[in-house]
Amino acid sequence: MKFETIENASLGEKLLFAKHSSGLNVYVFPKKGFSKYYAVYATKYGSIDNCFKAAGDNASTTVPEGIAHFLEHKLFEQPDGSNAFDQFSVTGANANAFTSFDVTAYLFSCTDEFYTNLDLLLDFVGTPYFTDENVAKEQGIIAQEIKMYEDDPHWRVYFNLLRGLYREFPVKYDITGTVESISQITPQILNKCYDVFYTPENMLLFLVGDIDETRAAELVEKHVRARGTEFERIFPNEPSAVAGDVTQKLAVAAPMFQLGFKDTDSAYGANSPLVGEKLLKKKLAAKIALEVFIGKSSELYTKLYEQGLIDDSFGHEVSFEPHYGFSTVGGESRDPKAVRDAIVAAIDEIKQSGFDTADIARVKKMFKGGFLRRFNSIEGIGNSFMRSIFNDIDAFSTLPTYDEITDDEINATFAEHFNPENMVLSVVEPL
Amino acid sequence: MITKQSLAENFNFYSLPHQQFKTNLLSVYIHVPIERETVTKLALLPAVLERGCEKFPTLADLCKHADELFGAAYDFGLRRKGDCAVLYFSLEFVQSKFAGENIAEQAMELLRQVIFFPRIENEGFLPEYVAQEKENQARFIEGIINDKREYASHRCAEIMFEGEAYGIPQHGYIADLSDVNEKNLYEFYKDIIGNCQTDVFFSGEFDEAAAIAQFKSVFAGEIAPRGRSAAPTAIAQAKNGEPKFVTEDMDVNQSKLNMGFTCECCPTVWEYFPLMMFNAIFGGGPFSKLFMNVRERLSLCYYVGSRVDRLKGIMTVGAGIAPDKYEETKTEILHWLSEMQHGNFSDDEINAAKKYITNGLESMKDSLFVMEDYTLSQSLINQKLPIDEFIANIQRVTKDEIVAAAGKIKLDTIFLLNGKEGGAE
Repeated sequence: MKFETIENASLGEKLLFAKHSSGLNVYVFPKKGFSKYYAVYATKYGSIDNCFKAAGDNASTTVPEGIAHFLEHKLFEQPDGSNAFDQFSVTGANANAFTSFDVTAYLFSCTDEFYTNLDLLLDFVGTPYFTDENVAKEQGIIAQEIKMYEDDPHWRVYFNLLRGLYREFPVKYDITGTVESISQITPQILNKCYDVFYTPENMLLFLVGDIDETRAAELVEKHVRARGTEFERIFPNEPSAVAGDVTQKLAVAAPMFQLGFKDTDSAYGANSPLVGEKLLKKKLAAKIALEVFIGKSSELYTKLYEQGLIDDSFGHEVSFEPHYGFSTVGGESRDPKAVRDAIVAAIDEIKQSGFDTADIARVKKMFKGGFLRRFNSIEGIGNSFMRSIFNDIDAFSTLPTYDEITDDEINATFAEHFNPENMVLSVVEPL
Repeated sequence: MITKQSLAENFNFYSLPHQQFKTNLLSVYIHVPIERETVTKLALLPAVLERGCEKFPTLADLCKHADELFGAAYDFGLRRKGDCAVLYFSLEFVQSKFAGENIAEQAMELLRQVIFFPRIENEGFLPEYVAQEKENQARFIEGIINDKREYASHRCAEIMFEGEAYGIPQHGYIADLSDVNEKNLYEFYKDIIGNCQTDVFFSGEFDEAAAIAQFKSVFAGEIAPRGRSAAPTAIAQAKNGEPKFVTEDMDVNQSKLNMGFTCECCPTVWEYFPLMMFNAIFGGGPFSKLFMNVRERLSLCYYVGSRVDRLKGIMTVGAGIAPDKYEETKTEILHWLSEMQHGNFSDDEINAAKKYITNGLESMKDSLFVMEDYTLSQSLINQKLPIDEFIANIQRVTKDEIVAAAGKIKLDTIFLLNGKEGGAE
């Protein structure tokens, strides 16, 4: 394996990259002066990948909701009955994993015995072990996890929103699935998903810290073999129209809401993925637009705050991925509908006037500072680069991209994306 | 090397040099007691101060100014430290070599304005700011119930330390809000900023002498002696008799079990290191007795863990359980405590715990915020233990010492947030 170096002089950082013969892309981000090392081994496989067609199969396979998350839990279990967590504990490392809509990632941070831990990581993720017995036991544990999320108003208001925004696209399903859906999971289905999605071609390894890339490469060589074949992800067509507003009652003190906007750009969607520079630009333009529109420095935020309609739980974010995009604003409010109405009225005004150039410049400056701050954290570096790479985005290009995006592009993105017709209000009300 | 310079009595400047970050962190800490009569006012202050000062009269003005400082991130709040708290004002900003301009002086000036020149009208804060933040505070307190895990943990502390400072919630009481007005809040605040110990922390890459000189020049009018030094925290005492047991019903799927234990351990004595080791083996680590048995082997809960509050000398255990699993879970937790008190844990577990704690301590060096907080906590117990010596101490802890620490641990309080019957299986 031969590493090439990607230098970034303005940040004073560099990234090493090599493609292993198995097809696995390996990245090393050298960070001297930090005590910790970080490794993330991830597959481009998340809760939305519920339907696929593997090469050689005649028909597509549809799997139960929540299986990616289930598989993540189960992969820690080893054939000798041990749990990979225990093995990491021997070296004092912090191991963890997470499943999102698009990615399943296995990771650890440690301050010692990095190569021992990397050996373990590559080994356990490469060794699936699913039996009827251990699957049944996991169903009990995850059912408890699902019950916990059912009580969590933040989680509920968010997933209710997605169910309101999306009629077909599987981002509408809870990442954990339901107690019912996970009860259908068997070792056979888990093996099938593993074989399709946990291939070197579909995965990447990202390492951060004061790392000897040659030693890391030796471990990749030891564990990773070319395996698996092509497959096709199958997504349903998502109509432009939203499903509608959602309200749920839970044990909360005050109403909680999320207001969402579904992106309905015709050049982008379930079956025409957006990646690379285009995706980055779209995402940053929406992020700037939303911040100028309703960030803490905006007139709208001030107005809503002074009217007592929002408090400092109020926040906003954009989620733009290759197959879907949406943005959310939300928090606690005594009157979520009044917040929505004020936002709709303000959208109209901005569409007439456009944003102020000085506000856009200020917000860009703020985001650039935030981007620089991310390099303070080895986990922050690992996670953000991992996500960017899966979407063919050069994370280093984020800073210059902020400068390149024009006011016109930001105004146009705002007008297109923040369309009240694609808007859904999700509310969790007190019992 | 961390250095401390006294700028006036009870007014200190700490320098924490770190070379590996892209930002600097500047924080001002004002040490305040937590008292039943004043806690609600204390809790209100950060939000009221953020709303506006003379120079940045509205929240939007302050935010815009921070944006212009290359997205400087400010955070004002109240952080509990044992029986007391610190009112903190922090600002993290990009180093000049990346920002292309020197932000440090402007950062100091921003904090000075917010802390010492709040927006005042007729000898009080702005009435509309206070009125609205009182409402927000009331909603915040009501909202604590939204996070059941957090709520149960608060309730457990409240019950265990009824009538004591440690049992007072740092967010205050809704019932007290009606007596707070712009004038008495400002009176209270003036007293704090004029009289309570104030510590300034500056972290990151900077020239120490130049930074102190700059700070002295910017804060020239504010650097003066403070009469009240930070107060120590009283160690929790073991009580005789049966533990307290309180249960509350709530319409949720999952019950929350919280248990409070006294440890009879001062933060400054050697016994603290064995206690920390005990906690890691018992319930602190991902491989702990509680995690491996109560969660993994018996599937009794989704989460279970223990933590020790060094300043107070207590341990708390929290678990999320199915409503019908209370007795079984409680019995299991106490069983593993008893096992450890009898020395039933292995050298492998000791070694794993040492590595786990060492890893955690080493990791602290990678965050400006964490190192700052560590140094602050150290200052509260008059200790200057560098992380590397802390690690060396952990490495020297013996099994007998851990058993001895376990032997002093005594159950004090159980709080059960009881979910609905049959809600989960």
